[in-house]
Amino acid sequence: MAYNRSRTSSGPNRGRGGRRQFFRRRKVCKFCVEKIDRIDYKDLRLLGQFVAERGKILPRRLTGTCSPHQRALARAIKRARNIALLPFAAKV
Amino acid sequence: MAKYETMFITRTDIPDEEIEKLVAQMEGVISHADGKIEKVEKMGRRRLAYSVQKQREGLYLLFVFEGNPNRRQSQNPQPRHLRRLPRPPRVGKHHLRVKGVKGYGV
Repeated sequence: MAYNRSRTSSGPNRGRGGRRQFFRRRKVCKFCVEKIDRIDYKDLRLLGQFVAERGKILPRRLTGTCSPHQRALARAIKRARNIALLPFAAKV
Repeated sequence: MAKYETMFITRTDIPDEEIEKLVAQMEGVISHADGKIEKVEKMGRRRLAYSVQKQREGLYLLFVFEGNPNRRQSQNPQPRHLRRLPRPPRVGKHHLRVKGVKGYGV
């Protein structure tokens, strides 16, 4: 039931001027959802999801991470870089 | 007591005794500073994300220990060079890099 309700409230509507509004999945913070309260710098599988191909930290606007968790995540990634678990800049 | 962890990367071309020596030295330093080792983990050989001292691979070692964050209040008077734990202590000569982190449990 809840599923239906959310579909109708945020589903594709015809807005003013006939422009189609896209249905976009709402981004949620992975750490809030999975209740990861401590982001470990050794957990490369987790950190790898938030690092771009070039080794850059992905911005919040792309991943949906909340701001306290993004801060902790950035700290963990920088720690991992420091101990050569993650690259500072990966070659393409 | 606070929790700390220290990670070492050593060269891969050194004999096992050298690693045991490093572990023993580290244990000595920690126990001397009223610390308590919780875990010594050999994380094994890994490819480094970037080369360190011309090495592309390294052997990762992890120490998890408890230590007194306030050295001056500790019971044993410390030799000067050990006062600054958990700053990575000078042990061994075969490691490429050391990193100490405070407040990380396992």
